[in-house]
Amino acid sequence: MTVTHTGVALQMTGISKSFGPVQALSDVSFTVRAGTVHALVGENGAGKSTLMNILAGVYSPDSGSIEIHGKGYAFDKPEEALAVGVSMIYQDLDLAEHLTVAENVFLGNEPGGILPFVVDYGQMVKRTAELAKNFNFDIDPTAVVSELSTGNCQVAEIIKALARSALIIVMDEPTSSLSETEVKRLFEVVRTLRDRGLSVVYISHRLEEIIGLADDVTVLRDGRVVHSESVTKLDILQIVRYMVGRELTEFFPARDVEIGKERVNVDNLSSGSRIRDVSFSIRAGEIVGMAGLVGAGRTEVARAIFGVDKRATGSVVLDGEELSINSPSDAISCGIALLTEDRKRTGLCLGLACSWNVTLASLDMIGMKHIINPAKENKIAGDVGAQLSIKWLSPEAPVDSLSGGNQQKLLVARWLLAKAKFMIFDEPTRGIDVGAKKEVYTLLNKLAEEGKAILFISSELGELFGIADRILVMRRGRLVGNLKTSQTTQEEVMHLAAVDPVRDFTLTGVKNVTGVISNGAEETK
Amino acid sequence: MNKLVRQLLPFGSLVLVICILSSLRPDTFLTGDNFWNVMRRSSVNGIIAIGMTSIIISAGIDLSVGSMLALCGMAGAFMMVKGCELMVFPAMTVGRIAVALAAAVFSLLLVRIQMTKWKFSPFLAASLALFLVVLADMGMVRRTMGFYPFIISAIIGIGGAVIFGFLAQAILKGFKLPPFILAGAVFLLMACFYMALITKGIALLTPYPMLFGTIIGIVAGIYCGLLNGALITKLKLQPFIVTLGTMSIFRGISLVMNSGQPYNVPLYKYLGEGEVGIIPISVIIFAGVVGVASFCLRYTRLGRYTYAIGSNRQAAFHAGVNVERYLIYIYMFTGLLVGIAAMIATSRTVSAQPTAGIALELDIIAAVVIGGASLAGGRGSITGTITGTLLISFLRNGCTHLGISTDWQYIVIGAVIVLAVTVDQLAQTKTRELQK
Repeated sequence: MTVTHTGVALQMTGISKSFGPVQALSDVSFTVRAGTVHALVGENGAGKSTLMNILAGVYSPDSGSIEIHGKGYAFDKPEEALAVGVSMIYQDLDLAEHLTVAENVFLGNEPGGILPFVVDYGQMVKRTAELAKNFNFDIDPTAVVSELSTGNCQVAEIIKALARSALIIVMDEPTSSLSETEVKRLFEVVRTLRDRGLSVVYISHRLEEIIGLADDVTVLRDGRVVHSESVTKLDILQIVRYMVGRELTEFFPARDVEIGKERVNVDNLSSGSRIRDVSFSIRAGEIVGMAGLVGAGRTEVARAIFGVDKRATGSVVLDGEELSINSPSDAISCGIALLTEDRKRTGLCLGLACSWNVTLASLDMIGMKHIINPAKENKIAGDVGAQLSIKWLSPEAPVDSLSGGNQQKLLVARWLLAKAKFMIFDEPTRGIDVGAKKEVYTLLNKLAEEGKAILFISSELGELFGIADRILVMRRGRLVGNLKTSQTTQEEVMHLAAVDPVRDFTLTGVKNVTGVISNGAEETK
Repeated sequence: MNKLVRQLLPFGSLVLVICILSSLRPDTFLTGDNFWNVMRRSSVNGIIAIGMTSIIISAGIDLSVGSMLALCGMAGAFMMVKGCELMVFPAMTVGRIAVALAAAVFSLLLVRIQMTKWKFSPFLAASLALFLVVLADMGMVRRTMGFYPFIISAIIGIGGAVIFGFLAQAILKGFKLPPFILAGAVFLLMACFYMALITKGIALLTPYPMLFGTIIGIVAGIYCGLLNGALITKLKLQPFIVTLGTMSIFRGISLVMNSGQPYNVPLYKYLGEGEVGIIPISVIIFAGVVGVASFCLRYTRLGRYTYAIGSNRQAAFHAGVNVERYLIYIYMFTGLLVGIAAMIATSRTVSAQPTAGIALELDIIAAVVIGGASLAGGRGSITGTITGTLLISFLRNGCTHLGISTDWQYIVIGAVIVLAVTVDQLAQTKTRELQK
């Protein structure tokens, strides 16, 4: 990639696209300068994906034109876009898990060997290593993809794009499943690409990332461009305002909840080798946040409580009654709910009707223990949908026709119907837009007001501080912090989550300063 | 709108096929006799295909239905032929009661150990205890029976009692008894039921060998389904592999039963040849199964969970669906339907063939797939499956009337399967694009 590009890399002009009666894009113009990172933001359903799919040749626009480095194109197939240097890296990566990095990089494009139909694997490894070295990426070309971390998979995708002489790389929510350090590394990679003259279109919901990384930003709303400017002239609040089209005076709703008596008490919970002796309690109306790095065991705590994983020791007490939970169905009948972290994999039956998904966990509670009455079911689902203002065509529409935020609300609706008393939210705002996030926060508050106990697991410290009354910190399977939000700082929580006192003895004092319930003493044995 | 078109597609092609064949051979194809003939033949395949539909919706597959058909037929016919001889049980003697009581006391102790030490559920503990009692009891009457009668009455006794115990437990659960008391009560009820079943129940049924054999054939199907379901869920194996294995096992058992010879039941004609007015009994049974199954899939929790498990098993599990239990139900349901179909098939030929239903599973799966079900799960309907079954039957029948040899029929049917699935796929992508 020695070519240096100047001027405009991509010019999309007057793009319109409708699906049936829905106008997804109207007269969108989008310009990306060569050698820049251009952030594309907007709420879910604003048209970002449609626009990018048009660029990648997945859809053809109803009207409008695409120019790449001054040449006009009309793509009918993704292959054509790929051939002129447009590469898409989707949120759910597109790699063949059981092949090596090198094989993936050259998939469908393998260098031939001496004999016909024989692939030259050595050549593939060599060229992949060269590309990686050129861009200072640290990756083993012979590693099997299923053994790579998500961050490295992303790097493999980028190398794959580079191997096809990409000029424009589109990244859709690349950081949604990365840990803090992996995000930093990805940013370096993206900056390297930019410095080599490539253009990156960067789609993300995490606005602080955009401020830190992008050169330009374009905001889409309801299928139209509402703003396009250099990032330096904008701040997060301004971007948010453009995205939602209204002032978000208070992003986090004010909490004014009477905190009642203790409802949930988890004592000495252990499960497998992933979590050890986790104890905490939650009172009625209280929102307790749970922080920690990826892999610290937060999700495992939720799974152990909910009966997904077998727990080795420990008890869960709800409203003074010790529960015996061996499966999710036990947990649900005891009044516990878990909104899982991956709503597509473990939350929703995507092909089935919305109403079916809403009532799935609560058929006996709505009086349909054996026989289902579809009319009544649709009405119940419709009512709870209206209560949470879920936007769907009808309760009978399949779930995959809904936007991410609405899918998440649909899951909340499921647990509302199941009459949960103790609700665990595992990353409920992942991959949903700003407006929907705010609605989720408001919803959490409302649930707390009703006296429910809420455990809120999140990787975004900002939202934990905005919404939680207390923050629990997990590190390597243990609970290392139990802090009042009002009496702590993000730095302190991050420090607890990331710094291991066993490895760094100079920091063991931290737990004394903050009065944390810590198992540090045991660890040093 | 588009969804409707998609659902009507297989039905449309069925009508088309019938019209074409009718115009080509109005004299032989388009007759009442021929129509009922095809319907009679379809009813066996159709009933099994309905079971297969529910399995395929749950993202599973059952390759063993063909062998199961043979096994159920053989089991049922065996009872009709030999049942009267073997069911002359020795009366319940004082000795038997004494031994059974001793075994019961011992078993209750065992229940306690099982539940405290191994954390078995009350029902499982009671069932295992019952198993011991039955073994003790059977051991005593073993000498007066042959090997097969011994095995078969043990299976009937335990099976009947377990099903009864399951119902009893469901009722007793409402009283919120402590687990040990519950297990004890369930166990005693099962033991009583077993005694009554073995001595009285069977004695009552022996004068009606045909009815008795039919029941046994159907029960055999339920057992086969239970075995499939239990292996799939408890050993966490792929349905494809488990049923590939049981396909061979069931076939083997039905061959071993009478050394590869069929059982002839010349008097067993009612299901196969009987008619009410002009409508054959088998078609009426088929229609009944269709009605019940449609209702189950659409309006019951079992049906709803079937779709949910097939669409996303993990999500269903996290929403509190007892995935394993419902999968077992689904396979048992299919077993039940195969049992019914087996008895119809046996009656049609007035004999049970150990080689019946070879490669039948492929026809059945084809019918389900033509009907629009997805092998990936979560999609499929009873109406589609019936249409698919009829389409294949009419094609076969039509080919015969047109003088196309059976060898060529394979090619025609194969082409239709591929065509039908292609068209369905196209329609599906269209719908999807419209939704986006």
